Amino acid sequence: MRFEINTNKVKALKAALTLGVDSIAYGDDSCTIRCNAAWDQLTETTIANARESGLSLHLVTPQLLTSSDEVSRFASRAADLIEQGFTGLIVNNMGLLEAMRRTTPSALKKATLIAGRRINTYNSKDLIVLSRMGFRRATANIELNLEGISALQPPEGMTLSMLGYGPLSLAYSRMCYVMSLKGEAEYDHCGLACEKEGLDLGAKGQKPVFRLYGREILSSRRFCAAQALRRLSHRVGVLEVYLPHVEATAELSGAIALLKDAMTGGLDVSEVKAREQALADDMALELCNGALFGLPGAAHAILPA
Amino acid sequence: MKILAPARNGAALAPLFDAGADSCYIGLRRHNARTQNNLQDLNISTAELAELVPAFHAQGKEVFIALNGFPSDKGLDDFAEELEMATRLPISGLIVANLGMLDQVRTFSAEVPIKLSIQSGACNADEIMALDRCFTLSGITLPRFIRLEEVAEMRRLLPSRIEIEVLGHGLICPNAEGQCFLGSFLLNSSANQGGLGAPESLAGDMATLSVVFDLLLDNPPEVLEQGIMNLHPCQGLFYGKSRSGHETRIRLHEHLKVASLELVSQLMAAGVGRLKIEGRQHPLPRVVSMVEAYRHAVDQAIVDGVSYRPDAADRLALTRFESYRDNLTDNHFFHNPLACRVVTEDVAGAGSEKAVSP
Repeated sequence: MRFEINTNKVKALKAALTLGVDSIAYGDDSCTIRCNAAWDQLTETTIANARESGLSLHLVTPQLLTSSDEVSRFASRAADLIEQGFTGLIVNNMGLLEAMRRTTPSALKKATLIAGRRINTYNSKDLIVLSRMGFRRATANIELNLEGISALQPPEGMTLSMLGYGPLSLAYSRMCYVMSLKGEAEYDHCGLACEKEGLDLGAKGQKPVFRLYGREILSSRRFCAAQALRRLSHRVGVLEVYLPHVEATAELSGAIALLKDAMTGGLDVSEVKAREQALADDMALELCNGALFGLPGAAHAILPA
Repeated sequence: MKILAPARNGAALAPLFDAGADSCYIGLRRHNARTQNNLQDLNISTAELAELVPAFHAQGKEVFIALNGFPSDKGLDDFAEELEMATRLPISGLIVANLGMLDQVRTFSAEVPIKLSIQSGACNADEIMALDRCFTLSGITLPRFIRLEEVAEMRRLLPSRIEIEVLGHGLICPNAEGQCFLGSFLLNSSANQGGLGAPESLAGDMATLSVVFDLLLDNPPEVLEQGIMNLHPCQGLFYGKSRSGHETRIRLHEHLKVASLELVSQLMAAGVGRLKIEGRQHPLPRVVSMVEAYRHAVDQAIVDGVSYRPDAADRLALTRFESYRDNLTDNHFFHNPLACRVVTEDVAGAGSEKAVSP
């Protein structure tokens, strides 16, 4: 099982080099579609250094593109980044792929196609269709539980990935309540004005709360799949650690160490639970895995025996 | 522009066609976005469908079957059987969102028309054409966040055989179609897999409730700390009652509905081929009233063209069963922020807006 970190922070990217991860999913929707406020720009040197260190760079592309201008703009941007050294394209809107096939086919051929979260991969037939469309990896939908993920059968040449650690995405919103409440007219292309104006919605005291960003609404807790990894190792090829806005490398390294040990370290369930608890205590976080085990209310911090 | 009406079950079809619907959509027992057990008399059996559809078809009325869930492998087990039964009938098309289901439909039949469901979230011409190349589409229901000008652009870019449908009347959800996991997270009932049609109750579970209120407000309301709560995430409605009897309602929208009566002629000019009225779980009289109002509006707009203005009686018909704070809400087609506000109110008192503070 390989590890991928989703981040948009150079600090986390540098940490990844020492943590032994295999790839970086760089960027997120807010950085690509809205403005550059939320992500650290990568220089060509940083990209080159990452690649020389054996790290694969995968570009996260936007979900909601509602005009042909937007599609063209981001297709062009994605092509540029592939030419600069990104080796994978995490596709969240088929329109972007279609536009790149039409306008920048040579760049597209250089990238491994990965079906992102918004592609909504729920069953094995989805994987077959995606494979035919040229995808080589797909992310299992976060609504799938252990049984649902175990049932997925990727066709030959297709790798399955899943969320291993990070806040669950509760919804993907086109509307930003914050801008609405401020009475701004354009709530969907706000340019992250909330952050620019110092409205730090990402923290409430020491406790992380819902991240609005006008787009993705994340759980206040961290989902952790450590207890299920051995049962999924035959199906899942890539485990995603999703901390796009977190610079705290302590959490990043703690999560990766936990997942690696849970998978290969010979830990039994009680030891994994103890390690989870220790990580949660260290980071003042709550962990949950109810979604994976199909428990009522995935928000519940229930860790089954 | 045709009118597509939501049919709760087989008995609703005739009254909706009589009210002026050109077409209806209905769900079978499984594989659609409304299969939850807590809604009575919802959906139709294939046997009943076989009995009803040919007669409507003979009258030129269209019936679409919603197969718009996102099933896991297990959930796909009996899909082939349901698909075969549906496609034997003279239906006007299947409404599908999931890639695997789309593929299965096309493997089974090259002819059956496929309308890409609103749940697919396909939101630009390139995306629709990418899916059309794989599955040959006859139509698309656009997501609710698409602006009127974007509708017109898509009409220009898409081939005419792909009909554009928009949600003309129904809920405005703050979340993107197919991308809401709130029900799954809070209730283990996925809106993408047939759940969440009616309010669910949680009792005294503050661990869960506080998560919701973290989203909505600065702090969880005290009144809810030991109370019960009904959730209806699909309506952005959260309702709490304390043990002392105090009731609070929180909703994510100032206006819960989009109503496009005022926009009928503009939608037609933008190239919209079909206007969808949403709400299969709503009582039949309410839906019939909506259909009658929109039927009259569309007919009037055809005659009046750009000078069309909605009839007062039609406006009244829409408000007979639903209340609107400011007349009718057509804001979402223009992305007016007033369509999206957090509002709290005591059940017995006046509503008050509360800003999200840092």
